[in-house]
Amino acid sequence: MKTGKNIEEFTKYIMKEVDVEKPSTDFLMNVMDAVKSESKASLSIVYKPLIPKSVWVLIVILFAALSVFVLTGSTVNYYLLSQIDIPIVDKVLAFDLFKNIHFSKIFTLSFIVFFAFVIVQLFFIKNYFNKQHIV
Amino acid sequence: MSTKPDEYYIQQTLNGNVNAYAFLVEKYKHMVYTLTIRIVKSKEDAEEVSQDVFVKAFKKLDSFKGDSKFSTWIYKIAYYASLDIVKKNKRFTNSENIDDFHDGNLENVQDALESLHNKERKIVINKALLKLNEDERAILTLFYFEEMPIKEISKIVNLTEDNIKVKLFRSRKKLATILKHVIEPRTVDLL
Repeated sequence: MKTGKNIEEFTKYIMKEVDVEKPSTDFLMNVMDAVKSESKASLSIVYKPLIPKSVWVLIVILFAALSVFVLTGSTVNYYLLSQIDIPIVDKVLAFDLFKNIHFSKIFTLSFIVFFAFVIVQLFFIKNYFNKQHIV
Repeated sequence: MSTKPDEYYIQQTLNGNVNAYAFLVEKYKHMVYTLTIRIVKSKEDAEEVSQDVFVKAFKKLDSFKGDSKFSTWIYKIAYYASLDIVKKNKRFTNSENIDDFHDGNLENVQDALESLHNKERKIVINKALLKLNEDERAILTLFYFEEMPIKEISKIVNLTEDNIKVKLFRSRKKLATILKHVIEPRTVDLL
């Protein structure tokens, strides 16, 4: 323990003998010049999101409306539509676009997994991109 | 020098008053430069690295959350930027052997150092410091120059507090041993 104390005192003595180093006189000026040009550069590059906020709001509203429609679909009847006797409307309503298209369970599952990966990738790519521009 | 806290200047800078950043540069330039020169060992490299450190810190200022002190944050940037330069130049320092250290050597070394002229003493000590490893030099600099608590140092160099204590103890021993090796031939020369 005595050795530790002695060495500590000795190191204190040593470190007192050496001063803090001083950078060049124009250090501050150089840094501020670089900082100011950096600041101007960052002001000139303003990244705008690809999808503006208003479009996101619209998407959310549409998605919410669709969800409500799907969830409460069984309670909705086509009373009003059935009152209208226009043959083209009947044809349109009778037309089933996806009648002949069948997806296997494996395809559906892989499709969902694929999209999940795409979304996860987007998150990582965005982070990577942000870091590239910050550091 | 203003007595306002660092947070004030950080906020001012983030609000677009770039000149406020000059106060932070002025306040920390000596310590950042001292830390970098201790690691990279060259004045030119240290000057360049220190300037880059402040520019990098400016660019990342909005990511500074204030969980730690600004000083801890900027010294951490300085520490890793300096290590990058050492790595790039492949100038890592080999560790000095400390097996032959004895407590009794200290008084002789201290007496011999005191017999030197001020300027010469500084040169001898600086040379001895540069013979330590990069992390040892950084830890000693932060502990003795900045009087930083071990907890803060551990955040900068990314080591546990116990690890820092061990490294501090070994660095002190190494420094004493190196100085003994430097001083002894001189004493013999004088005789």
